Amino acid sequence: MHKQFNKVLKTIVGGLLATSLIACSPALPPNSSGVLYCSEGNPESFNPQMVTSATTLDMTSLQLYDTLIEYNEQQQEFRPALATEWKVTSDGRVYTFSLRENVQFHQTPYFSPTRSFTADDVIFSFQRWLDPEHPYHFVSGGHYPFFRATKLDQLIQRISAPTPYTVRIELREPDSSFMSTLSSSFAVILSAEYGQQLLLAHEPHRIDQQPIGTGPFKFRDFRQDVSVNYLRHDTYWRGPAASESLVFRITPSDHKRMLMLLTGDCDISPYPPARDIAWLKQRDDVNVQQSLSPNTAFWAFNTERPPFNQPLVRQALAHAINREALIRSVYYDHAVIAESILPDTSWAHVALPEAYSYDPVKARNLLTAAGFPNGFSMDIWALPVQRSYNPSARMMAEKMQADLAFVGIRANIVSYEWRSFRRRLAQGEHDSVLIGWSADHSDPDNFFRPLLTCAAKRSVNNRALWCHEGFDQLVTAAIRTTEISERQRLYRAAQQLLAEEVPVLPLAHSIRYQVSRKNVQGILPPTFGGIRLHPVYIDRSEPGPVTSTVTENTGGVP
Amino acid sequence: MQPNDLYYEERNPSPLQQAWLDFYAKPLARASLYTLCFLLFIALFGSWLAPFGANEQFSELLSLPPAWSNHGDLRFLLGTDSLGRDMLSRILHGARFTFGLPLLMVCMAALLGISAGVMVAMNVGVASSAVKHLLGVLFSIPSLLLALIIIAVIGPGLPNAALAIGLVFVPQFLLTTRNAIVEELGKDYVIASQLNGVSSRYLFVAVILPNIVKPLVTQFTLAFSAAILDIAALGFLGLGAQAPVPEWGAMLALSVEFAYNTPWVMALPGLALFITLISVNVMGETLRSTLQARMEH
Amino acid sequence: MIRIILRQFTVLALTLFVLTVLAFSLAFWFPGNAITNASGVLVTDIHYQAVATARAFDKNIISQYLAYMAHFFAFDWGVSLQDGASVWQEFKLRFPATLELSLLAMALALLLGPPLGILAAMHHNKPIDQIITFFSLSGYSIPVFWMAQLSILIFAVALGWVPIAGQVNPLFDIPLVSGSILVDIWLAEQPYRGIALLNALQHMILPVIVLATVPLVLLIRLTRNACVDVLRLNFVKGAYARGLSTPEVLFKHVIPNTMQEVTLHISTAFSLLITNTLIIEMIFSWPGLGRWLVRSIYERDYPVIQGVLLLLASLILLVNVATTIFHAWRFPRVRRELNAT
Repeated sequence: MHKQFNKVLKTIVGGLLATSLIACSPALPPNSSGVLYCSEGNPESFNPQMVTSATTLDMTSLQLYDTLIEYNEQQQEFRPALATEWKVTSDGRVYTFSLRENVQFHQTPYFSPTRSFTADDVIFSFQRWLDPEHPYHFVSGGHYPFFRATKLDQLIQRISAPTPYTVRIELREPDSSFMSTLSSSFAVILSAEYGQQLLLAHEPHRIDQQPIGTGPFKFRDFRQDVSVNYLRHDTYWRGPAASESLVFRITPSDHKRMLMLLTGDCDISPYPPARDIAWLKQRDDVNVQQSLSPNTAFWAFNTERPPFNQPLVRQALAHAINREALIRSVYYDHAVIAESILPDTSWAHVALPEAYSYDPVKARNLLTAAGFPNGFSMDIWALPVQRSYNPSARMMAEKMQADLAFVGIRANIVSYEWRSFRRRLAQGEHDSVLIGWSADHSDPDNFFRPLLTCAAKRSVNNRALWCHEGFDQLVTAAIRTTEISERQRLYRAAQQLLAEEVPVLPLAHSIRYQVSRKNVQGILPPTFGGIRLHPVYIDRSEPGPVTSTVTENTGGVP
Repeated sequence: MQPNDLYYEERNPSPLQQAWLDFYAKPLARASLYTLCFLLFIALFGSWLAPFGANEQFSELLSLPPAWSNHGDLRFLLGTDSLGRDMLSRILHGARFTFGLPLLMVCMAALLGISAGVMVAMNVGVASSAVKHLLGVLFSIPSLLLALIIIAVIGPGLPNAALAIGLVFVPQFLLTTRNAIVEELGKDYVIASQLNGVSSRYLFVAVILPNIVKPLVTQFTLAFSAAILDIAALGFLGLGAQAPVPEWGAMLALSVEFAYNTPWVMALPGLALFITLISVNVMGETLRSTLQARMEH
Repeated sequence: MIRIILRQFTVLALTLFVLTVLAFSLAFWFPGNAITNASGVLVTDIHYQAVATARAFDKNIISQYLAYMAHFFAFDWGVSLQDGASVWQEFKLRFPATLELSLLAMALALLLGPPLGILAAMHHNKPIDQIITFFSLSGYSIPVFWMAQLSILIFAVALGWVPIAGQVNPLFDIPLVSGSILVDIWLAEQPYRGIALLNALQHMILPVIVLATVPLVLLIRLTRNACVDVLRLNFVKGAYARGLSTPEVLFKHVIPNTMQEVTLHISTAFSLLITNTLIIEMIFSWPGLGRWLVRSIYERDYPVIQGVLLLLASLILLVNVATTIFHAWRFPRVRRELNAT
């Protein structure tokens, strides 16, 4: 019946079937030795000096740039990077660094270096955030949050280059955290020559969009919401990277990242969903790495806005939240309750459980005392990406919504894309925010001065917008001394002050997880500064990407 | 037939009644009608039927599978979600937002749109065809996009989304009504009634109205189905219902983050939505075809 | 015919005018400062005064509208409030991506919809018709975001046939030129273009099929109903009576008459498809307009919303008018009606 017609139909259906058959075998680049890293957000900038988020640091600092010195967590000591050795005067005020020779900058279509790395580059990079007269100081916004919060910009008095391969840094006063700060991933070295070239071309802003550094990978392109592509820097001073290219696929959803890892659309994925970690560990096609970089998730109240300017209200909110339930349902027990902003692994940690205990009755009483017997309504800003300290702020916020409703507070959850989230936070548009902090270095100071001081308020990292002189004096005194017992005494007082004032409610200290496919070789657990992808490569000798069964686990701590 | 009953007349049902009987005779249509009645009942009383509150969290029983699975719990028939909330209760509570709210909004839009359409058609008379064309083309922009424009202005949120969806359908009802009436006004039977000297009120209620039921019913079912889909889509896109409201679209959006290891969290609200939509569409389709068949005689 | 085209273009010009006025007024309806909403330049910016003058905000509303149109046609659509990027630059790269997806889906729907509809009509009320009707009705009722998610779980994750999301595996390193991935692969000077193309097609299959569903089932239903009506008409009986074979009747009489009815509704199918791209792009991480628009609404990025809404609406109108003109050209009989009204 209707032969001709049926024939047409058959051709169409046949064609469709053929297309779907093509679809069954994955088509991959034949010679590719690239690594696909699924990243949780867009980078804010390609210059780590100007950023605060670990997302951007992971994508830029250790891949594109180098720092003068690095911190080795295993040996707990500083080790040479672009600086080969360093000397400190006995008063602890003048540091002299000898620089490595023959370090090459990236060669790209938009820049060809004519000289290798010298002291000029160090001076250029440091002056950018030190000196407001520097031609690049106000380029791309002119904010250097890390250096501002650690007051490094005020600590350094003078920086000079006695010879092309020596740099002298003079401090105003000795500081026990100076070397830690210098080894952090924020203190990267840019190319002075590239800066000059862009100035001549009247396009200075490009320095942060098309970066040039000395790191193992060089920039190729960036497409918002899609990917960041890097190529190998063949003349990297530590030796060329193990893989030819490195791609960061931007995938904000942790669930989608996990699925993409399982199907081979990603090789490495940070922050797997907390509820699936146990299940992922049992699978034999992926490796789970974990690292204990000290971190704290907290709930910061905008202390400039009523009613959160009243300590009573903040205490009430602290007692209204069942943090134990959060640990169970948000972290799936991959975290411990935070009894202080400072992680329990630090020597200066003081646990103050009674200050933040779950007690809705007390919370109600406190609210009544503060003049809100019927509660109020407020916004909870939930950070939109997964962080080592918080796998799902959104879920946490929903959980807290129910706790708050119990004491009569109506909470709305607010969330934006990561970059505009940070921008709006910086403008202080929030009532309260679920955010956190991962240590940049090992000193306890890292959890106080960059987070809660008046200087931090100006540098936007102080999400509580809290400025307390007594607290500032305590933590400043603590870095002026190297006497451990004295520092312990000062930090104890500081933590007790925090427990009374509650500018932030500490929630949890958690473990950072990262998942990689079994054939990913050379991968290490992420450290303070982020993940180092220089030695990572994909072992393509295995039969299929999904059906891998027997592989040696050379890297990672499963 | 009784021969002595001189004045007996065979009672013929009116075309509308006949259409209704035809409709009711179809099993699929009847099933969809029952489903919709059931949904209406849930939308009204679901919050009393639900075993738990929509936002009651059982933090020991996270992501529990439905009761018929090995790890299920009989207290939670359809399992729990990632925050330990009972899925059955959430779906029952959610019917109010995903079914009840669009129904309400479309009814209001129909009321406003139809009365305005009648006013325009009966009083202004036949407007220029250019205006008709212009409006016709403008309203070829789909409702979701129009709702997005309104939400872009007034901001996201469930009340705003409902308002936007209500507003979007008013002009559609207006246009349908006006066009239908204008079309009928040109027909002979209407002219005949007008020559008989009936009042315009009578003309509309008794003469024209029964003849424009079909386009109005069609428009209503189409709008209703579109409104349900739109409110769920807005919830899914994060522009409609916000957490923790158990609107089905918003529940689906949340479930996307858990779909692989807890598929029921995604399957159930989607299934509820699917059943609702298919019932509305089957009913609309059957009503349309039966009305078509009956009115053409 | 020329009269019809002229008439349609008048309608189009008028509607586009109404749309631009609407888009222009959006800047005032949005909360906040109208100049910022239109241009993305904040009050604190040093260029603010210059922008206000350029957009004639010191003059009356008509000059402002004219200035808006001038900016619009100069492709100066302001900058995004989110990241300060030029809206036009971003739009230029995202629009082809959306267009590529929608055109492919539309082509699929047009290729399958009418034949299936005719097939159903030829077997009116027989099992094959009932199956097709059932599928078209369920296809019409299935929420597209649910279907997309289910298909990802089944075809991408469980079966591993196709990738989960994105346009192409980024390891291929396809330079971004036009925004449309197929065109970009074509333009890329690469030894592996063939494999890259295959890879891109694999990424496309799922979103295209899901996107095609709604217009497809709409076309099936329309074709079926129209065809059933046509088959009842006397000239079909007449054709059979003249001894024509079934295929002859079908291709000479039934299909042309059915398509006359169906062609008119292609624009409806297309506008439904465009709305669904908003959702599909979100789920499949497709770097197109829809995803951008939805996020911009959430982030209150007014310059972006203004530009994208205007363009999407214009696109739908253009297709609508194009369909009407095509319809009048292809089916001369309807010209009289169009002229008459």
